[in-house]
Amino acid sequence: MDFLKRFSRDKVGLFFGIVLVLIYLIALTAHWITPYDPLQTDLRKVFQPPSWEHWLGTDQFGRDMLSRVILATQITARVTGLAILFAVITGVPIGMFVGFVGGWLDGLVMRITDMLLIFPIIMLAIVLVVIIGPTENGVIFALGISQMPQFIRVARGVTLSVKEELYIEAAVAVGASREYILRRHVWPNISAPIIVQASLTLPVFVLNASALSYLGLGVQPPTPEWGQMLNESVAFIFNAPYLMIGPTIALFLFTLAANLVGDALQETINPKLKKRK
Amino acid sequence: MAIAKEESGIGANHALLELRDLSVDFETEQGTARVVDRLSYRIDRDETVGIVGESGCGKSVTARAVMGLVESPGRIASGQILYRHGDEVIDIAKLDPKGRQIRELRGNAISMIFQEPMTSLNPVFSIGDQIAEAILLHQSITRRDAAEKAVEMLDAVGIPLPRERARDFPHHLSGGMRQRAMIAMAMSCNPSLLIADEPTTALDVTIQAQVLDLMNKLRAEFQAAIMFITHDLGVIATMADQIRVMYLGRVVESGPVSTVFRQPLHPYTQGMMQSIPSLRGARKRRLQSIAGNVPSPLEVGPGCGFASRCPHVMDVCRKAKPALVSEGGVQSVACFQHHTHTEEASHAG
Amino acid sequence: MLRMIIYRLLLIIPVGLVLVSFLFALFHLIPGDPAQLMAGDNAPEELVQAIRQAYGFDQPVHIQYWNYLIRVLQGDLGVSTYSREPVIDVVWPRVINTAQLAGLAMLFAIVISLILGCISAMFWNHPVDKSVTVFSLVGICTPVFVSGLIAIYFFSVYLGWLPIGGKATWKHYILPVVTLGAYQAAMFTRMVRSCMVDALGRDFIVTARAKGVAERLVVFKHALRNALLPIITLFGLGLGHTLGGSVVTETIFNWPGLGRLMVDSILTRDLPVTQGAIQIFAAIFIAVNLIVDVLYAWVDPRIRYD
Repeated sequence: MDFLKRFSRDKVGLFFGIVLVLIYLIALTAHWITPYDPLQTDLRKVFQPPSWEHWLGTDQFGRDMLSRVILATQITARVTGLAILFAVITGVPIGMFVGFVGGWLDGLVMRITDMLLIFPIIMLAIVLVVIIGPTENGVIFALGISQMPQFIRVARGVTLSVKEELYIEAAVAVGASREYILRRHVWPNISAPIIVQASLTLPVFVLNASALSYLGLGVQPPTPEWGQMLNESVAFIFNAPYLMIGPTIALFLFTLAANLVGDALQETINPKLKKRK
Repeated sequence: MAIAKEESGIGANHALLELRDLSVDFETEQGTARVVDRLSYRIDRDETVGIVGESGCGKSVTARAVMGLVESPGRIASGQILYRHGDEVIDIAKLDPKGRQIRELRGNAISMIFQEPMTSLNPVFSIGDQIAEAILLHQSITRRDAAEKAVEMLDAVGIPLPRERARDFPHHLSGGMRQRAMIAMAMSCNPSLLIADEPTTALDVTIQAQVLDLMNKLRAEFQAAIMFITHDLGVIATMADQIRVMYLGRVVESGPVSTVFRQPLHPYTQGMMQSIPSLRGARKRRLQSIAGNVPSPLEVGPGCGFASRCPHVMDVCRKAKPALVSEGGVQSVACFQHHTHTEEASHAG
Repeated sequence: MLRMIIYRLLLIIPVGLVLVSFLFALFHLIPGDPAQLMAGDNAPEELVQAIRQAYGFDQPVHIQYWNYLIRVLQGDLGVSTYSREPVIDVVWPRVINTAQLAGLAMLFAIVISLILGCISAMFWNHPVDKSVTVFSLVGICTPVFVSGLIAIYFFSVYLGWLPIGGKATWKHYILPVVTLGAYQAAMFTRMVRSCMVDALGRDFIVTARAKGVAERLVVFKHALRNALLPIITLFGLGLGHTLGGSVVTETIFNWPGLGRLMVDSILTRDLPVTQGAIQIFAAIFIAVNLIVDVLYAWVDPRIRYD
């Protein structure tokens, strides 16, 4: 409750929080709210500019762009959400474990994450997509694995700092097991920084998922995806530039909202990080 | 009995700095906090004035105000900071804090040393460069001469092998050596007023004594007035001629150090005296501390700021603020135990 | 300092070895028969068999690994299955084109972000600062393929001033460099600003002001010189991101660089070229990382003189 109160004091964060909720509502209800079937081609209606009937026009196959943008919202929300979930459920336990046991294993895992962090996420994602295959699942795993090092580092950091605390020493002294300590003492401390990290990862995933599909390495047609729709629209940039409008706005709004909510969350959960007063 | 502030005046030949009704406000989320409250006092040429008080009493902010360095969200709300520069009298409170005029005073006529020698020097420039920079800013000499002068200054503050140390970076030096370097930098342009903001607080006790000794030596050599800010009465005793005890942004007691130490009049000063451990004092007497906490500047009421902690509090203390009134010539106190002058009356008059 | 450089150089050996092994393992994880993949789905069995033999896919894994390692060390990255040219000859001219694009974009981004970041920090919390913040936020939220398409539409299609894509005259450089550079500039500006705000809040800034140093010099000498330490690291990481962004930028503007080569080779299933391009990229990232570390040590006197 206190958290919500503090969060709502940040007006910008609150506004874009609402925008983000709306985006997810659209994603959840996409199948019911699309005005037309997003996959239904109609060759009599190709390249219609925006009109009252088709707010964002129609594409080269006569498909309604608005419906496609709405369905793509669902795809993006699902892909990025599952990718974050994947990164969290693989990265956090690894980070907690190596942070807790320390020693050579910790050193090794840290060296590997250090090495992976040299590479930009899009490069890692491309390499992984090539191996797993350019499908929806491929994108989810590729993004998830490429950001796993970040979650390992955050979880390890928290675990290390909790380990230093006296009460853990006390718990060890009375004979608590490793699993018990991790679950009982580390877990409650870890959720806040993980939520912050996840929220900061969301816009990164949104951008990279569409970049992958722009390159033709992401979700494959006919399933609509913003990046892929933009890629297709390039061919018609002379006669149907309006095809770019929908995906551009959707992508921008989602990224902007995710970014600002991430920042606001970080400041609410971690007010110490607030910049110079 | 005359009101203390009226007997002074920047017109007097020996006066160097005079604060007149200086107020500094800080804007916070909870409202405006008056950190320095209509403060008036004077510092004479060649005089060392010790400003004592607990942290948050406004002593450091006053020093910053004199340098024109009050940073946002703080601002000078009212009052004057009169400084005698050669033949003219400048009101520092009116100068543009980023302007040329104040910059010509800073580091030149008025210089400052800080509490944290570890962080007050720029880690990426050598000690010599940082001192030479101050010299080059205010004197028209060549780079080479400025570097030479910097070495001389390091020598003057008792740093061994000054030529080598000048090439060193701050992280090579110990805390005491860094504070010496800071002092060298502050004295390099022969200032008339040196503001020392808790210069020894962050140092070990033995180093503290050395630095104080150095400052006493330099004071005689350079003939500078010193505004010495500290919370340590012991340091005041070895350093200062005059003492100003500050509480919640105001001076509650002032006078020559010897007089005030012999006979403190304000209950706050008395409390502070009793909390100094003494080697000679009777062992059985327990070290006293002043009960209660300093109220927040946001919670200041109409009465005396010390009323909530004062052992001799009277009804009148909660209703009006006492004025700083001279008691027997040299010593002044703001307390209704000694007189009945209120702040309002003195301002009306 | 010299010892650190030598140590870092030696560290490349295990890192490179791990990377090459990693890539080898990854490409053996690709589902399906690599020979079949290279030959195409409808290729006759004899061709598949021939490729299998030519590339040694029929040999045990450890022999394959050893041969692969030896070949990489000799700079032999194999032969493109698409153009039949040695991969190294295909890749090399592309590396230079990508270096041009990424280098110019970085230069653009560094100059813009240092100026905007410093101005923003100087006018902290002032409308100037807020507008810079909004500008960089909008930049961060606009991926290169969106801003690139908007730029193409506006400058090439609508105004007809600049070419749509390719790399022939200096005019061809403008849109790709500015598009990629602007995105990085937005990222950098945010971070330069926060480094500068941080540096301007430090004690030695008060010391400098108390010396009478002019505000301009306080910002650009005392604060910037200190902020440079974290900023250089940021720029180093940023160079990696710029190279990552170049993959997309090259695809948009039809820029004949390494990134587009990599994407094209993936789409045409030209496995040796993909592998080669990734290896070159990896080598570049490691080199960049090394340079940044050395640069960092050089700027920080606490490392330089110890």
